Amino acid sequence: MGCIHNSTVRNLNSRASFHLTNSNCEFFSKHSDLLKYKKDFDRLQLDEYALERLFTSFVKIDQDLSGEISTWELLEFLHLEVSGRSILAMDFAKWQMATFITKITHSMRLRFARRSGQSLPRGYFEYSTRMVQGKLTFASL
Amino acid sequence: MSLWNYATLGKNQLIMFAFDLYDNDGSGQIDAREVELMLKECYGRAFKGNKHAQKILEKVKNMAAENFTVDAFSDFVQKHPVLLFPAFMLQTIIQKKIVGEKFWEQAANTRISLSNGNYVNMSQILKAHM
Repeated sequence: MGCIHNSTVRNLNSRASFHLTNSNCEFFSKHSDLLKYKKDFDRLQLDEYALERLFTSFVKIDQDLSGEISTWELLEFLHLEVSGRSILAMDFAKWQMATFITKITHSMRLRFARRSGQSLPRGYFEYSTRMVQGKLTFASL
Repeated sequence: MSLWNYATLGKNQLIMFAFDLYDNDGSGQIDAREVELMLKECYGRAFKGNKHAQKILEKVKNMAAENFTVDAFSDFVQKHPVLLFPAFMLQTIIQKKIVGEKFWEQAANTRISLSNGNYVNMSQILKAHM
């Protein structure tokens, strides 16, 4: 998805907090590597204050600080389903753990609680995982 | 940019956006099989178990011989909003969770003024204001 220079992401993360107002926002002086997109931002009438707000969200979503937002990171941020109803409940730490274990063991079983109130009774969804081209994949059991 | 493009679309514009995504050859028409594919991709794994999606699939299959023009597709989605329901939902979630709905409401108004209320894709907006 979007790509922002790593140093910019790290700079923002290194600050404990920052305060924004319309008057003192100097987005491009803080993120000079984004100046090359300024014309496009201007065409969309995105001012520096708007860009700072978007950038703050970007940094929150880009959990691995890669400067890019992967589909998984976006889905995780939005708490959306990935490949099955139960996966939406899976948090990032669990995902990383599942990836780590699967890399070592080549496969693992995951079980997620299924909430009642849907068309299915309370119970569990079960998946087996394996790595395919470096990505964690699920197959329901 | 992609986020702006998706989150600032109005309802009718989102329908056009979806149409554009599946009109691969730019002919201004998509066939029933492509609408079926859209339905499946929109619902993902929930597709098989979703009775609304299955009903729409049945209707689309009955129209297998027909091609959808932009207007016909728009009419179909107006009558059967279930077809793009996940896309509408995703847009609302994105607006709520990333910056906030007010921000996107304002950006959507800007988009309307930039495009004179018509559906214009991102690259056209950028080119038009060079």
